[in-house]
Order: sequence, then C-alpha cells, then structure tokens
Amino acid sequence: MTTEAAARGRWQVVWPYAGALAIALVLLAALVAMLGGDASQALAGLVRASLGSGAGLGQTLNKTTPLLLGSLAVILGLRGGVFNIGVDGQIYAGAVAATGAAFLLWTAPKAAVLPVVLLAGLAGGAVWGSLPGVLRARLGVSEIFVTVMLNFVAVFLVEYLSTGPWNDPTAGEAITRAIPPEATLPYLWPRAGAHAGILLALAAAVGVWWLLFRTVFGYELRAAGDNPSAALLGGVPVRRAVGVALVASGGLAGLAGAVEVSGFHYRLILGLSPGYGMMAILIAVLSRRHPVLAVPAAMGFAALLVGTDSLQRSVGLPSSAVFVVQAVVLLVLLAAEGVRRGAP
Amino acid sequence: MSPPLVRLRGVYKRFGPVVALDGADFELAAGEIHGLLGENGAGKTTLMNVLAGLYRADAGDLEVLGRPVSIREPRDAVQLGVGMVHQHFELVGHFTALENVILGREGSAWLRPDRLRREVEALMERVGLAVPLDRRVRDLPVGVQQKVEILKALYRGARVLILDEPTTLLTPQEVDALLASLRTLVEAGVSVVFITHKLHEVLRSCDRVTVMRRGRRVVTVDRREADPVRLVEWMVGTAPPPPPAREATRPGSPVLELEAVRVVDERGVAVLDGCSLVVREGELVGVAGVSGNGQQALAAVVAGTARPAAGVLRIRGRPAERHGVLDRMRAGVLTIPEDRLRDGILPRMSVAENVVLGRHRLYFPGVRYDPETSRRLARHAIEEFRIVCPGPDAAAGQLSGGNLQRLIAARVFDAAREREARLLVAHNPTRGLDVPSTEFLHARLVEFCAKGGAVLLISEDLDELLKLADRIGVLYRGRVVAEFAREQFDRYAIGRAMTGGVPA
Repeated sequence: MTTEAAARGRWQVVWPYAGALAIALVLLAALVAMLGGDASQALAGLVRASLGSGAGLGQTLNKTTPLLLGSLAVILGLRGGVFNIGVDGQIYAGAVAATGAAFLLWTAPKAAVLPVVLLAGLAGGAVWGSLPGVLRARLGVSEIFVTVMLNFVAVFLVEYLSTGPWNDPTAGEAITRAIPPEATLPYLWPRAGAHAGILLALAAAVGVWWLLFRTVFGYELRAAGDNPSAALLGGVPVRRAVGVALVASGGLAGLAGAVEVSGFHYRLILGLSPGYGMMAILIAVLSRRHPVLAVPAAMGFAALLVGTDSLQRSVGLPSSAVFVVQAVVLLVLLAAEGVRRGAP
Repeated sequence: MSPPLVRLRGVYKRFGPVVALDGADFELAAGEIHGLLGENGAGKTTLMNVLAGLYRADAGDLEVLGRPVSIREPRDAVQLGVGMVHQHFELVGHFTALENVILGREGSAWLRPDRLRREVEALMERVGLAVPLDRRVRDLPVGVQQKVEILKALYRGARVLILDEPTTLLTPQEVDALLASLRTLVEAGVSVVFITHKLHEVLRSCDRVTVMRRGRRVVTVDRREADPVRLVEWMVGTAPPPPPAREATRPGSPVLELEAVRVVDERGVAVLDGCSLVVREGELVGVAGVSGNGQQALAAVVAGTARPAAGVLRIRGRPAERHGVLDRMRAGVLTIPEDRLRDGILPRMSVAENVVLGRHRLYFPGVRYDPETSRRLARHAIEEFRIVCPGPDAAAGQLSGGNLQRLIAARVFDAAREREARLLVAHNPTRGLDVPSTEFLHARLVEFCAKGGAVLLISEDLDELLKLADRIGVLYRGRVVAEFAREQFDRYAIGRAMTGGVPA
C-alpha cells in the first residue's frame, strides 16, 4: 500500500518532466522548421552535439561544472531561508581571486599552485558572500539587495582588471594575460576536452548533501530556513547559521569561478559567466533544493545549452534564434515544474 | 414594540468535536450600542461571524427587522447592512485610506476619484470620523487604521456595525476616542455590537449588555441593571471551583523569580510592567488573565526570546536577564509555546527532525547528525505519546493540531527526563485540543511537578488553572495584580481581578 503510493508519487514527479521534454522537442522542431531549417537534422545534431559524441559530452561536462556549483550555492542559501541571487558576482569574485593567485604564485612550488588557486577562488567567493551574510546576520539587511548590488561591483572589477592592470596587450579586448600552465586544471578526458572540474563539482554536491543532512549545522540550518521562530525557541542560533550559509554559498560560487579560469578560459575574461547565477536558481528550484538531484538537473541544463548552441552549425540558425529555442525549452520546463507542484 | 433590528435564535455551531455555539440567542435593537461580553471561548466572535456570513450556522434562525433571512456568505450580510471590523484589520497597506475605503465599491470600470472622494468626505462628515484620505494605510497609527475599517464598512452600507475586541490594540487615548465616536455613529443611525471582555468598557459605553458563557446567552440586561459584581458572576458562573487534580506538594527553593520585570515591545509599549512572580520546585503556578495583558511577554521573557528592560529575573537563584534561549535551555527551562504552528513546528521537516528540535545538541554533541537516531526517538515518541501520523519521515506540517501538541509534548517531556529539567513554561497548552489530549497533557504536567519540576502555566482557561494550580496569579495590564493560594480559589474573586476590578 505504502510502496504503491510511493511509486505513484514517483510517477507524479516524473511525468510532467517527460511531458515537458516531449513538448519542448516538438516546439523545437517546429521552430527550426519555421526558421527554414531541417527539423530532423536539427534534433539529431542537437543530441550528437550534447551527449551523443565524445566532444559533445566533454563540452556538456565542462558546462555542467559551473552550473552545478552555482546551483549548490543557491540550494545552500535556500535551505537556510535566504535567497542568494548574487551567484554571478561571487563567480566573478572567485575568478578574480583565482587569477590573482595564479599571477602571484609564479615562484611557488609547482605542485602547490593549483590547490592554492582553487582555494583562492573559494575564498574570493566566500568574501563576496560574507558581506550580505554579515549584514543579514547582524543587521537583518535583506540579502537580495546586497547580493544583486555586489554583482555589479564584481563585474566592474573584472572589467577594470581585464582592461587595466592585468590586460593582455596583444589581444586587443577585455581579457587578461593567460595564467601559468601549472595553475591550470588537468584534463579528465583529453580527447573530449573535458577538464577535471566536474569531479570537484560532484564532490561538492556530495559534500553539500552531507553538510545539510548529516551534520548538526545542516540540521540547524534547515530548521532555521523552515521556521526561524520555532528554530530559535529550539535553541538554534538562527542568525549565525544563516550568515555562515551565505558565506559557504559564496565559497561554492567562487569555486565555480576559479574552475572556469583554471579549467576552461585560462584567464580572466569579461563574460566569464553568461548568467550562470540565474540558471543556477532555476536548477535549484527544479531539483527541489536537493543537492543530489541538482546533478542531473545541471547536466540536463548543460546539455540543453550545448546542444542548442550547435544548431548554429548543424542547421545554420542565427545565434539569436538559438536563444529563442533555449528560452522556449526553459519555459516549458518551468511550466512542468508548476504542473508538478499543483498536482495533488 | 417593534421587532429588533437583528435577532439570532438558537444558533448552533460546532468545529469538529468542539461545540462553539450551543443554541445562542441575541437581539440587537435599532440605535443602540450593545456590548457582547464573555470570557475567551464563550462564543462571542463565532456568533457574530455567523451574522457577518463568515461561518454558516449548523442550526438556528436569523431575522432582520422581523423578517427571516439567510446569510450564506459575507456578501449576503453586506446586502443586509451588516458590517464587521475584525480584530486584525483587512486593509491593503500600500493603498491610501481612500483607496481602502472604496475597495470593491469603485462603482464602474473607470475610477472616478473626485466623485468617490466627495462621497467618502460626506460620509466622514455625517458619522464624525475623520481620517487623512491620502495617506498610505500602513503609515497610519493603529487607531486611525481602525477608523478606516469602520468607514469601509459604513461606505458599503452597514447599518449594523460589529466591532470585534476593538480596543485590544489601542492606546488608552485611542480607546477614549473610539468610544466617543461610537456615540456619534449611533446618532447617525448606525447600531453597534461591541464584542469585548473588558467590563469597564461595557459599563462606560454600552446601552445594553449580553453576557455569553459556553456558547449560550446567559442574560441580556440594560446598563442600569448591570454592575461589575453581577457581570463577573454571569461571565464566569457561580459553580464552585473543580476539585484539584493533584495533591499539593511542599514547595522547595525558588526556580523562577521575577521582580518588577518590565518588557517593552517593538511599538514601545510596556507589555510587562512591574511584574513580580515566584515559582518554586514542585510547584505549579497558574497565570490567569484576559489575553493581551502581557501573557506573551511573560512567556517570552522566561523562555529567553525577549529581554527585560528593567527588573530582576533569576533562574535557580542566578540572575538571567541577559541570557538567551540556549542559556535558558542549559539551565533547564522548557517551553510549550502558545502558537504551535508559529513557534513550535518545522512544517516542512519530518516528524523525526521535529522531535529532536531543542535537544539535538544533546543527542548530537559533535559535528554529525544521525537521522537514524532521530527516527528511533520519533518512533518511541509516536508510540508513547500516541501521535497519529504516517511515520517518522512524514512532514510535520501534515499533522492535526492535537497531534502537533503531542509531538511538542514528546519533545518537552523527554527532554525533561534527559536533562533534569527544572522549569516548564506552558502557554495555553490545551487550547483547541480534544478532551483526551487535554487530559493527557494535564497528567504530564502533574507528573512533572511531582518529580520536583516547577511549572508556570499561563492559561486563558480558568477551569484548567483551578484544577491544576497550587497558586494562581492574575495578570492584568502587564503585572500580577493578585495572587490566590489554593484554599482561596474563588471564581468570582479571580474573575474580578482579571477584568480590572480590585480584588476584595
């Protein structure tokens, strides 16, 4: 009886997404056909480019890394009842710190460089998260304002560094010099171009799960997020827990920035995060604030981004049309989430 | 004699197992201010909610001007000219006063602000209520917001205005202003029902008084025939106090001592002011009082969620004014909060995770949280406290009120064993519970005392206090104005102290 109900419950979770995927594919085919492309070729190309080939899979994994780390950052905040919409700024702050560390560490022993660079990224993001964290814990300032404003600060900081002191004079655009080779992440799967960042992200997912569900801190954080006044009466230091969560959340986002620098771009660039922070919120919601469910959700998202990008090459869609396709698929997915929640 | 403006006859209403109205009668004459008096839970508000269309009576007749009517929803009541102002206002904070008054009555698709404004201004003139129409409601003081609510009801054509405990949130000056404006309203042709449990307000402002007790009308009298002594008797009844449910214990050393404690809330109002009280080991001290006289602040200051602005608070002989919740817990203070949902439960977390709240640091002194331990404790609690739920992993928010209270009891009374708790603060612990759950909880309180624990039982249910307490302190306007030892227990004397009369 109970298992039956549980199985039914599971189906109720699955079918809206299955339906959404079907609707999304049909809409995608229709859009491609409308824009003058060959729909079947487009769909085949999409699958091949994201999951069906080594190189495609590699790209998908590389894209998964910042999305997963970012969504873990959002999840950690949401579980404590705070809405971190500053993931983008924290990614940039982490990227800046990682790049700076890579530039400064040229005399350090080679084996130490990469760990320090990654830790610097983590610390940079944590600093960016600590400001809203402290303001919220001490003064009750809404984290939403502070995190959004710090996004701008971080973007302008990157702009300054990449066009100013760290600028690569030979490039002629807003990018910095390349970081030294010992500061770069090794390849996990060289032929596919997949770097080892995905391992860090997966470890982080397990780590966040452990923190939330297997530590007293995580228990108190979830209690504070669920009902702060009951948690307080139960002896939970609510403000402190929430503040710490924002700092840790920033650290995860900062790690994403460091991975993007040392695994993918090898330098700091403007546009390092094409809105990962916003997508991370969507992933966090789709995965129902669960760090392990965030893994497939982030991967699916990455596959969608990589696959639709390929439509430019496979059927010659203009890049703006690709954005339209991405947006339509996203809306259908979100509608499915709405249906799932509304389901009795 | 002409028929009364409104007549309610034999109104019966139950909520689940609780009978709220047990054949209640009520008549309102045209052009009067009618006080509706009774203790908490006497059925005053429920009866008026029936008249206003918010509840449908299970049985009973309604008449307006001698004609039988049926009121199925609030709209019917509005059409019959019945308007109700609730204790908690239903205003849109970021709308102006004018926008709130005309809300839902804008007239047509096009807002015609000038005409509507002239209408509202004329209304204000006629009934003698003036509010700044262009100010946002959320920027207005509570007393003015209340006027906006009254104007809203009148603008919708109310001839019968029901005010539910209108003075609870007001300052004394605002109360004076309100009572004065009621008189003007009556002169403008409105009849008023004034729900309250404060004697002096009834005696000051009403033409007639109906006293309710346990879902029925006790009496309706003219103000001339009403004096405080008789009103209190009607409210609380003349039955002798119930026999005590427990043997008196020899009290030990003081566990909780309050001396002239003052607590100021966020509005700057002193909700506790000069409150003094002692609870000793093995003693159950009851705090009686009409709600809103400082009970919440008293519970909060003892639990450690509020800090005293002045005065002395000692727990087991040690000054504890500056201690927070965690210090209190370490000192052995347990709480059963008044509002279970707001302060007691983590609704989206599991029963198991709820059971360990407050003692989680005890069971998990290190870094690790072990869900299996919580589940085991929860299974134990479900069995011992007979919590009806699908299992330890069910979300606590799905449980019914009685089961939530059992869950909280499981949390508290197990911690009592674990930590040798010294003091339990319980605020309205049995409100809304059925009889078996109530008796179950009472037995637990008694057992706790018998083991040497001290209990501070803050309750609006006088019978509960008479049954359980060794002593009863009466809280009125933020201080304990009278104390009664068990041999002095007397409903009338306690009731009089509760309603602001000086104890005999």
